[in-house]
Amino acid sequence: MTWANAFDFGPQEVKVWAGGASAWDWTGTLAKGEEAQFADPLSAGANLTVSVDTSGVVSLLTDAADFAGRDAIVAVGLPANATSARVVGAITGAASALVQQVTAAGSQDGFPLSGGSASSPWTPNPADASHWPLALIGLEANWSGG
Amino acid sequence: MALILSFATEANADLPTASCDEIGRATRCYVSAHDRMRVHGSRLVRGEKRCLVADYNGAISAGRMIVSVIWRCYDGYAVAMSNARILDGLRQAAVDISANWPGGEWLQCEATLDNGEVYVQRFRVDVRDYPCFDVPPVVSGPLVLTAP
Repeated sequence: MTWANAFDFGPQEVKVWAGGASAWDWTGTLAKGEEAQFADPLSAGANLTVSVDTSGVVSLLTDAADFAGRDAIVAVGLPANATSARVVGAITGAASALVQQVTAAGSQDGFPLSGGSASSPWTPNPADASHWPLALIGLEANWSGG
Repeated sequence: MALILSFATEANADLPTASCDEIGRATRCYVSAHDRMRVHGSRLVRGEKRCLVADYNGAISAGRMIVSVIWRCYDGYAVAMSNARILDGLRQAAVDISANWPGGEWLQCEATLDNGEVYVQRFRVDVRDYPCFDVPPVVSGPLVLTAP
């Protein structure tokens, strides 16, 4: 067993739940050095950018003027061969973040992936293991979203 | 542009750990960055079982990694494949081959890189068996193996 940056396994599926709506605001596959931009669901005319730098750090950025307290959840697909995953290093950003680890066994400590709510946590779909999250991150301000 | 959040992730990986003890070039191919038609030739004694390695270190840029590999053989009779894998470092691929029966076999390794490129390396393995000892042959091998 070795720990390696998830993106060392190749491009990973990244999902962004940015607005607290009923679906992921953006999903796609990113490799190191790539980024994607999409319309900010909570700020008309603004854009959100999700990027992966050359060292594998994932960032979510906005050009909206007011983003404090935003509900932002990021999930990264579990790489092939991986049995568990973790977030490493400090999570930087506009607000402190609450981090839950996810394993291939489906243990996610109450953090959502799709559907559900804060009081009724979402669960991964066992029939779709390729979409199990590597990590889910929600800003503490409000991550109910569902 | 304001940062909402930033983080890094790690995965605990069941990377292939099987080592390969091929110390020479008999069944280790250093894949060429320049001659993509190069065929690596090997001659094996019938009854041998060893790893066939495609070493891409000299053929792909430093940041590239192999994310999947397909091993194919032409008829699976003279040589039987098993245990296709990507070796530690994710820049070499290997498959175990058994020299099953006198004759020749074509094989090829198709390595898909993390940027989507596919690099193909071809092999020709000739199995020799003279004088002929009574080595029982193994069954014919598969024509295609993939990893992971």
